[in-house]
Amino acid sequence: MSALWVPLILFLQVPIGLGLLRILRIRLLTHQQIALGVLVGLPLSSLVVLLLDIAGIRITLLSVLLGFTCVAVALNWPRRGRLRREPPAPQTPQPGLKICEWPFIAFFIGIAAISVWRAFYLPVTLRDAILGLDLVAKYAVEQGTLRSTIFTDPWLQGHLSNQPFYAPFPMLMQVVFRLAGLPFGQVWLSALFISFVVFFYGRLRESVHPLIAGVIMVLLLAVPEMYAHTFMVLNDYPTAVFFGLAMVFFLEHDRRRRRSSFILSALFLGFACWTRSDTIIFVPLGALLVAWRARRVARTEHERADFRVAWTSGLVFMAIPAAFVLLWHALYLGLVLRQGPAGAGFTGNLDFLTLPGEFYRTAWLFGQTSVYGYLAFVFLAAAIVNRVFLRDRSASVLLAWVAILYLGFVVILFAFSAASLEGTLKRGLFKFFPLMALYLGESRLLHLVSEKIERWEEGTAISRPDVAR
Amino acid sequence: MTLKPASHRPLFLPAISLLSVAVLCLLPVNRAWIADIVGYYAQVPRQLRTMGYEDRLRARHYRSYAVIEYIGQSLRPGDIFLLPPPDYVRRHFDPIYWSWSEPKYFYYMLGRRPTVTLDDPQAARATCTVIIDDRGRPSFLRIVGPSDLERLRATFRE
Repeated sequence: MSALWVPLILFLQVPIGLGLLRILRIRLLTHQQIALGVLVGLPLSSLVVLLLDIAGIRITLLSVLLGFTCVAVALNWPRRGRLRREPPAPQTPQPGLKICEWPFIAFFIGIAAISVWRAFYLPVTLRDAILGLDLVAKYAVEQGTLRSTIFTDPWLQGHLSNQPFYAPFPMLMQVVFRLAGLPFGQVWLSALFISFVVFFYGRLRESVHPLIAGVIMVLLLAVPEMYAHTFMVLNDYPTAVFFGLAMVFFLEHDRRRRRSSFILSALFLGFACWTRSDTIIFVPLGALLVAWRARRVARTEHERADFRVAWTSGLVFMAIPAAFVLLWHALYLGLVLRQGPAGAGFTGNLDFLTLPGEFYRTAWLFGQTSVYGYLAFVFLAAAIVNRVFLRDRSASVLLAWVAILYLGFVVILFAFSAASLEGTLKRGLFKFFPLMALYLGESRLLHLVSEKIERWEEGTAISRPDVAR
Repeated sequence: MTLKPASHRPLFLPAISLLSVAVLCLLPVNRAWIADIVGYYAQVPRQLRTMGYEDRLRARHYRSYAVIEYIGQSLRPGDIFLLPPPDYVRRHFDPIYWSWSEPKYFYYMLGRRPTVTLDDPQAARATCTVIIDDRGRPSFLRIVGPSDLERLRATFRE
């Protein structure tokens, strides 16, 4: 089978994402809009594959293409939605591409190009992927259904373990891209990676000078373990991307109180749960943060506390990710497949004396610079300077999310038997990095540096006629 | 306007960004990471020469895939393959390339072939297996009767 179908698949996935963005009235610069379209389109299209299987329709290239076409048309059909009453978000003006960005862009292209090649060329490598998502995908493609013989074969009974039941997004993407003719799938990871870099770099440029945005982006990309996951399929890198995007729109909502950003934030958090189910652990605390922030705004606007607004926002924020977890674990695994992971439950034996140790073990991981690079240290230094010396509170909501993640990981290590430092946390930690990079871009410290560079640049512009004279 | 003459300025910022990329790449951890990436680029010409599906699997999964291929060539229709325990494979074959002894890995690489492990209630139905010799080479064995299986149990405990 030829891999010529890959462009067509991507060509259909992008309008699926753009269609939803249009309904939510999210308007960005063209390249960022397309990148975000990919980032929304990939997980939305994965839902189509699952729904085909639930409906009992055979999963083939034709049925998937038809399914994608129908959803793309439906989402782009002219309509009057409730969200249409909200005017589109004002676009933050962005400077055009400057010469000083070229070295960074050359660097991004250099590391992205080889990542794409390796995603295409290399077979699926990681053990958890072979024993889980790609095993399911390979046989789903062969047999035309996700309910393949791996779940029924008597010789595999008792040996399935947890991996085939992990959250389905990467598995469903493997199904689609294997159907498209790629022997090892995986190229969707490149689409995700490049779109994320394009979108996130653009987002950083909105708040800091491109030079600073470039440095932050290099720090984010130079997390060696995370970079390796841009060409080796597993759940963790896509989860980190979706989580990071949820944070971008969370901050946007927190600042501008835009309903569309709020929904997109909850939706990206839902996609993160659709990619790695344990992400749901962080959602209730996030919902509390939403409720607290919503109540503060309601209080300042109406001069009295409005609990109803607070609780509704919190509940909606929790409901969307919960719906994704329920769709997979309760509906698909529980009612359709009628099988589930072998052992992922509570340890049942909670020894609270170990809790301080878990806090230490989680923090200790960041010290492994050969795995995680320097971003965490730069973040820590910037956060201290910002809070202690510059008294900056403008992006505190992101610091609250860092605390939520940290606390959530401690709880996971403490309470779940299937969790381990090596398996769960090592790659789960990826979620911190886009969040840390976003915080750096929003920090007062780097804004001050940016302003200095901009003033200096303006000085250059003013001084030019002097030189001419 | 008392700004200094700025003829050198347009090139100043690009020079700074070039310098920051260079400095970031030269930090110890990043230097090792960049060296990996340069290594990836160096592999491309060889990879372009080996584009076959099997070649790519062989190059990536190396000894695991070599054993799987060897077993695949030796299996006959109707065979039930006894997977050696992973601990035994790690000790005698390879501490890294041992995943082939897991049922799901075997299923992934070799397709739907009946396999059992020593702990399976159906272990007695096994018709063949591999053992690892002193030099770490696998050799395919036919299991003829219950006494063979008992001897294998002892071997796999070594």
